[in-house]
Amino acid sequence: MAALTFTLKATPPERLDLSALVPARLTGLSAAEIAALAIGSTRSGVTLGDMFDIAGDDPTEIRITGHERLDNVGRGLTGGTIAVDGDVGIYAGRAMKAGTVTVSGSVKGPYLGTAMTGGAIRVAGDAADAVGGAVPGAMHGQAGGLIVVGGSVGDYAGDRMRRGVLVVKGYVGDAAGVRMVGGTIVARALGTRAGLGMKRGTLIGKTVADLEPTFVPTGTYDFPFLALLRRYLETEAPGTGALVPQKNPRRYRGDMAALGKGEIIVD
Amino acid sequence: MRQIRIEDRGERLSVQTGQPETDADAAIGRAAALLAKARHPVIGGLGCDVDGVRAALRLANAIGASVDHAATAHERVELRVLADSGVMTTTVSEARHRADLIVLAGPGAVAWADHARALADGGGLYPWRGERGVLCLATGGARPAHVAADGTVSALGDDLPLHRVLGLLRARLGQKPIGPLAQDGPDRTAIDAVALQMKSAAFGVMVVDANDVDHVTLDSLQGLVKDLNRDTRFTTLGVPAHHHGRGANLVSAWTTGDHLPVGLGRGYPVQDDWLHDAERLVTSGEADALLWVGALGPDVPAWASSVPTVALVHHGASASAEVVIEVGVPGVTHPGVLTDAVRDAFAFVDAKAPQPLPSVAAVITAIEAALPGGHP
Repeated sequence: MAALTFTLKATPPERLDLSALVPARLTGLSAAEIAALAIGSTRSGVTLGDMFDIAGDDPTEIRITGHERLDNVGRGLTGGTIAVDGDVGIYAGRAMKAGTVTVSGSVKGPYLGTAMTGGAIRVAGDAADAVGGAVPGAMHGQAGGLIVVGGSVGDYAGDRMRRGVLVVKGYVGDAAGVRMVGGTIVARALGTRAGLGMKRGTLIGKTVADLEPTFVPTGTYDFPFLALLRRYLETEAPGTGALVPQKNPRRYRGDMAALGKGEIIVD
Repeated sequence: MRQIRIEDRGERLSVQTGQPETDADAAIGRAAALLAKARHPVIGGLGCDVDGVRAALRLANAIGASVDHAATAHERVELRVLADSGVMTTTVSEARHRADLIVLAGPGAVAWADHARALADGGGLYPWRGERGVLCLATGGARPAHVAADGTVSALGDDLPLHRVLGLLRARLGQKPIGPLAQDGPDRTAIDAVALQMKSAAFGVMVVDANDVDHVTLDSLQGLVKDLNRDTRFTTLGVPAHHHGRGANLVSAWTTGDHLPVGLGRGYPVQDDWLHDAERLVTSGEADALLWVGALGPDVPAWASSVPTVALVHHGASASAEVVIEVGVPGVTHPGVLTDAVRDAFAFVDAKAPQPLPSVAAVITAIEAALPGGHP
């Protein structure tokens, strides 16, 4: 069986909802039924066949030509792989439970991996705001699994994150790990307001900008956790283990404005 | 006989309605055509009364538009925190009569208190109320001139961002340790004194302008108020959203089931702060037509110039758009239903200076009727 491949015919004239492009929704559908799936966001009634050339027949391996107007890529994924050649929009990997989503370009919309509980998302380029962050009204953002971003991410990364690992090879913007209740965020540099209102969880960076005074220095940190995390990252995302500080990093407990059981670890 | 003025590509025309109204009909017709042919129209601004918002939502349903209001801070910050964590809040009226400590958080709170003068007297409904204190948090040095206070106005963190002042107060209120403080900011003693002042209030009210904060800072402020309620009674008062933002969002809530922005392109309402943000839709090129409603303001924004626009504006407003229709102002030129910020309720407001101008609802209903397949 060949990978099910969706090749974009032209620039989408409107945002497209690709939440149907997951194995659980495509298995058992004929080529004609797949082409007839409604994916538009306006009255135009755009279908998958209008926008994409469709080839292949293996719904557990999906390939998509990317564009920033493609939303909900890999939403609710429960297994298999989705590979995007290019950019994606909002809600990529939202609430996914297992499987892998890879994006060769950048994530141009917010809420990458929000509410995901398992699986992995790998982005080669940058990502927008609220990576692993909660959507408005939701109790949790990322709640498991792994997100790896090769570039930098915007503001509110890991807002209300609950579990899982978010790795950013570049920089995170303002307010990373805010209102976090669990999980780990690793980045080259943490921005301002890092960890504001966090109850539990771990933020790790080479540097942190303008650390809030509600984080209390607790000395240096030499527990085995960092070595284990480094080994895990090198296995899952080669080249990212070096983001974890090597020797005696400084550790801060906080946010004392909230429960105060979170931590920020910096070189 | 009503008169409406129509500005058409810079040329102002005065036409009569109630008569064969060729020019008005033409403007309405062109507005309808412009919106009907759009793949993704947007209705923005939405500064109008209840009837106007209802008409706008009906039109949006007919043409598959996204609908947003200009008071984005109310939608993206206040209503988000309400959904995220819940809020404790009161009315201006309760704050005025009951509060023995008014806390102005951020410069917007001071500006509003002085501008609206809603707390300019101490009320007097409750003779048992103690003396009223006023406290400014992170107001950048601003102090209110029109808030009734018994004694001096105290302050904390004039040179600090609000989120930091709130965090320090929450930590010290919970008797938690805090890290090293900046030399030029308040010391621990000053923070503890303010925490004690807030805890000692019998009924404290914290005033905040959503335009000063993001959802994280407002969530922190609400968290501080919830913490204070372990020991005393404390609540918040949000600076009312501009351009009837609160009323418009309430109309949307009872009509579509959720607050603005909301999209009706799929034939059913989809609420999404990012996807249906009017400015984002227009500047990204996704929207191809805009209906701007500015009867209660604001003016047509600069970003609207990149998309064909129909503007409904009040008398004297400057607008550059494909079709500009002058409308009346509810509560001024004609009666309407608006939210009353003092009582936080809808209220009928009569016309102060009646003028023969059409209402937003009348114009939008006429546009809907002029749509291809519409029912005039």
